[in-house]
Amino acid sequence: MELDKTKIIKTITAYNRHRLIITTLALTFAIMLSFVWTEFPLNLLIILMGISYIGGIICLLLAKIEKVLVPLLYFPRIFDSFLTLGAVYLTGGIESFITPVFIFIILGAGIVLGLMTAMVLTTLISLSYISIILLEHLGIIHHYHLLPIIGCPYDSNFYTFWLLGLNIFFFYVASFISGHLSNIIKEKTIEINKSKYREKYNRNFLDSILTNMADGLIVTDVDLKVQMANLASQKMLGYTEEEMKNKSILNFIHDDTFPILLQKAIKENQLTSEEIEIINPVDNKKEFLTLKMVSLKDAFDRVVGVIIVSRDITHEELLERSRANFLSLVTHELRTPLSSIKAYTETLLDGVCDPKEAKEFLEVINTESDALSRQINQILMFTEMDVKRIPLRRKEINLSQLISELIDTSKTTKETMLEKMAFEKEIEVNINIQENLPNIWADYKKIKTAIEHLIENAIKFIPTGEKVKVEVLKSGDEIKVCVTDSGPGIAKDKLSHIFTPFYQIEDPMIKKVKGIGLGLSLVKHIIETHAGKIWVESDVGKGSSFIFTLPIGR
Amino acid sequence: MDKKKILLIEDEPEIVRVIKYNFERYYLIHNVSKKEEALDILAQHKYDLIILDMKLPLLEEGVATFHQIRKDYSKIPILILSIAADEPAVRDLDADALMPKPFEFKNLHAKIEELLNYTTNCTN
Repeated sequence: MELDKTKIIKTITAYNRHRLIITTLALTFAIMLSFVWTEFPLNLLIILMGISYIGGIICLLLAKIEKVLVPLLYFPRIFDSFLTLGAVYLTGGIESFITPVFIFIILGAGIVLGLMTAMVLTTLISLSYISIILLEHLGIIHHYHLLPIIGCPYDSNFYTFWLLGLNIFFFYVASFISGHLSNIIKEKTIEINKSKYREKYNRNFLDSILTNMADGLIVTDVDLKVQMANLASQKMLGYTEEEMKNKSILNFIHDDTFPILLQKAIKENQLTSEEIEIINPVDNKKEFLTLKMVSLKDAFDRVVGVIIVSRDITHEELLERSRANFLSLVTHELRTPLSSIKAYTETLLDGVCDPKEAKEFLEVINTESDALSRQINQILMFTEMDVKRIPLRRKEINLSQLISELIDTSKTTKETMLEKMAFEKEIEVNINIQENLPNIWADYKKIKTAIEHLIENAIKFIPTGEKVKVEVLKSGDEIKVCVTDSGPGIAKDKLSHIFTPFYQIEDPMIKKVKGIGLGLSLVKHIIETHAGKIWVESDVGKGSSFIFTLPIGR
Repeated sequence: MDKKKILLIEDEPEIVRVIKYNFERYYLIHNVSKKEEALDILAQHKYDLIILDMKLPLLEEGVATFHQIRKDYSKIPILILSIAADEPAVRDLDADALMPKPFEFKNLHAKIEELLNYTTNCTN
């Protein structure tokens, strides 16, 4: 058994406090008595009381210096038996009318301390009682008649022992009844406390489930007046529980079929459900919810209301729409280069007389085919990264070499797409790579696509004759790549959308360029999957800088 | 007989070039790439047909242009040339003809002829 030290100390302290009060009162009474009755053995009483009290203090000290044992709890009671002994002796043994008072003491002890303690106390009192009578009979101590019951003889031995036995029997009966009563009361109290606790626990349990669940839950009565609305439902509908309470739910959910389904739930006892579209009054945003309605019944199976469970499917719905949108946009956008290819091929097939013109037409077809191919690659890479989540194929990459594969300004021949583009638009591309640049650990193909796209974008979006600068440098634990152009720049309000898929800046200053608007979102995706960061710095009229960082090392 | 006048609202230079190349022998083709320019030029010249391009991210703008022209110049037939011809927003417009991109010149020519003759017959 584990000892609860604080509890023991507390019990002993309380016990000593009671003893102090009782002893003081008894002593005062004894002193007053000793004035009237000179034979009264006051010194004996003081000694007995002293032993009892000091005993109590010793118990307390023992308990405090942690030499605690459970029996220690009973020690003060043992010392108290001395007190009882004195009281019994002075009041005159069995024939004293103080004897029935012990029954009340025992009754009290039983109720306050329980069956076990009452029994111990009763045994102690009985023992001290017997020992007094024995000592008196043996003539060892003198018999006092302090409070005799009139007409009760003390001389008869038989009568004395019979009375003693009867007294002790009553002591035990009193002790048993009170102790048992006390135990029953205690059990009941514990039970009541337990049920109170359980009720509170159940309430808290339900409350926390209702508050923390992601689904909304609304309970209405049969008149559809809201009785309860959990936190999720409040957020979904944009009203607080107070605002909705006792008002018809139809004030908060505006949908044509909703009232019909509610009636169906109430009258036909059916579980009904629907998907609705609402505008949240808090932020005026569109929300998509699924609602499930079921009737709420009481103990007699009567319908007393409706439970409405709502789930926010806005994210899924928007995702679904954006996927559908994505597909539609992508397939349509592929038709743009295809239209040119088809138109020029048809024209060529019909016969073009001028060979120079025919060559130009073929070049258009070639360029448009390249554009188509790049778009398809972008889409593939985008779906690969976005949908399939194919892991990166990392290896050591020398960025200087990677960039020279994309665009080499030292060469005179124009081979790569970027070289051709820059040449055609008379754009000067400066490449500035810090010496002894550490290698990075990344997916070669993807990083190449990202850098190529940033340079391509810069060339595409700036007017003929402008400049593009590519800088690569080490910055702390990262490699920083900046692609800066001297173009028209991007307005502040458009900067935040620039990495959104299919976003293309509609600006009269920027010449309309071909592309499906997937490029920058793809670049962002690539950089972020490499634990890097990408951002854009731009001022209208001063050009733009696309900057990304990649961590060095594995 | 004078060549019929067609206003081609299209911003892809390659498409404009190839349409002009194929049709300039039959029609007089003017090209603009923006709505504002289109309205300006329509105010100055009389056209027999408008060919309007519509593309996806700017579909709403294209639809607005269509309605504007329809309202102001209800007598000029409009042929919509679009990569998004299958989109409800485009399909449901009361355009006189709808030509999905990529297209065949033969078909486009037939559509143009049909529209021009129809208007000619009506005016006669």
